Amino acid sequence: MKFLVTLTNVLNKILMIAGGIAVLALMTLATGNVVLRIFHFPFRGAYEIVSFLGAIVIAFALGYTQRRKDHIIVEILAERYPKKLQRVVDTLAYLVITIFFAVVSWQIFVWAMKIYVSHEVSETLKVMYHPFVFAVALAFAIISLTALVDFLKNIFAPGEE
Amino acid sequence: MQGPIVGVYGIVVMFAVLFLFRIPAGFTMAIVGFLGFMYVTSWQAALGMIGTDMWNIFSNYGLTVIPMFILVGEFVHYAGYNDGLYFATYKWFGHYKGGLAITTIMACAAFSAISGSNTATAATMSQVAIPAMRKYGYHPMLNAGSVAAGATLGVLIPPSIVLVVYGLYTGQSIGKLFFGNVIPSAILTILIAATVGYICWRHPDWGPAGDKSTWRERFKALPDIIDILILFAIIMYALFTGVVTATEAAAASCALGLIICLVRRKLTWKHFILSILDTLRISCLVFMIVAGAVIFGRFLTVTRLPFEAADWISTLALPNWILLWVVLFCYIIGGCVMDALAFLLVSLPIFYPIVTHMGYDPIWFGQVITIVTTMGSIMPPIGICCYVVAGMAKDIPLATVFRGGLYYIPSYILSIICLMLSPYWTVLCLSNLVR
Repeated sequence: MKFLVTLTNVLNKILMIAGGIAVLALMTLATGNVVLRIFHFPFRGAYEIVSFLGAIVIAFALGYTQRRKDHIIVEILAERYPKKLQRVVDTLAYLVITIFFAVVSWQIFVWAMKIYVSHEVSETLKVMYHPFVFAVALAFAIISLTALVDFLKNIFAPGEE
Repeated sequence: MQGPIVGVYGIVVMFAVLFLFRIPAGFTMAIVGFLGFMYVTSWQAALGMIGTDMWNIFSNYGLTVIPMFILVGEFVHYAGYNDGLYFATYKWFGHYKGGLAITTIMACAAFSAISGSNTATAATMSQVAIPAMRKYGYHPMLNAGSVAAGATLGVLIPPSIVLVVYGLYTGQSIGKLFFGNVIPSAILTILIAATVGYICWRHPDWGPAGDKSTWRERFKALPDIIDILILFAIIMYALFTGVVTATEAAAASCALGLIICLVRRKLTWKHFILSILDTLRISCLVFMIVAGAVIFGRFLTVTRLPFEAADWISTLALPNWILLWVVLFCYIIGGCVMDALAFLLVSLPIFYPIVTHMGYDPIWFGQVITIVTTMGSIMPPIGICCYVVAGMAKDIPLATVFRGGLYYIPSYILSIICLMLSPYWTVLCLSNLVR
């Protein structure tokens, strides 16, 4: 159990560092392109790379945000539940989240494999972009793992944080 | 069972899951949307949809504007511009009765011109405004209420995350939405400030006047406001000319904001890292709500519910403005019980086709809906701004913050009425200028 918690924490930390670099790269690239355009040297592929970086920025924060329970939850009724029921509902919620994001990760992986096998390239730069799709699939796998750890913790080690 | 009725059941199930289970709003919409889509089409089609749609949403160029607008707000927030802004506005308004509360609202408005989030504005302004008003013996209800109401301007005044999300979801120009928002924001800010005046007139001891500053002191306090104004002007000018995309405008203001903060030695390494972490976190949660809404919207579209509902409503023998108030009433109720942005996105697939079918301008409707959404954040029982303020001011009970916030509700209603009386002079005259 402890190993799983440490593993998800480390994985989420690595993804957050990569996400942080991606958000700064996004800022630099989009700003750089504005400056280049002023001097009539626009970078034609900026649009595509910014999109891919955007995907990385958001996807890589998924696990961390789930770990901190920052996602918006409607608690108006649920916060009135007795403690025991709240734990049952939470456990169920973690299980549903685990399964759903495992499916999403699997399907994005399938999609990434498809474009990898067909050697699909991006429209403007004509570069392979499947690594970004694989990265997003991985990020969804990690949010699924993070929710699974929460689920297991609720069952085997309730009350521990 | 098939057709629009499946969509109706889907909405009921989605709300049931949302309220009964503690599954995040964005996830709930995505899960129910996915299962509903599977029910209407097939397992294979739903699997294909979830894989490609998720990737398409995540790699959507338009949506990259969200982390950029959040990042610039976080830089300014962690650089501590709140102190300077508050100090400067105090010099101008502090000597009136309730002057500190008016100062709070004006400083919130100024801070909102660079921050798109109401919670960031509430947290930031609470730190300076609440101790200052406490020092001058302001009544807790006026003190906390003015911060909560002022903070709601964070999602209204451009760059507003709600307007960005609305624009991206409905395909409207973000530049037009921002420009159309200038007059409504001014109207609401003035009305909220006027409410402070009214409160002080009814309860003269609630907001004693502060010391009067000289003109020299007033102008000396301006530089911090000028930094914010420069960033705001860059975003608005860039969007106005249409030479850059919204993402580029936001990214450029981010880069410039970072440079200004570094040159003025306002941003430490620790705060820089914190602003990046917060940006990733907040962008992710906003994004997941958008992704959930898109997937839920896909499901509703295959059931044909939005179109059938729009057709049905057009056959009702009621004037459009009454129908519009019915829609707005739904938003007010929705804003009371769940997060306003989440409710906006849950409801847009249903209400947007209806409202455009009635002939209302989408840019104008965007402003009206943003004001209603904004109001939701100080309405009991879940108004997020009140929670943030109560969290920051430990000695003021949550109920007092909510009661203080209720004084400002008429300002929002009056603003909406102003917008309804003249859509052209309040919104379209400026939004139409944008290319």
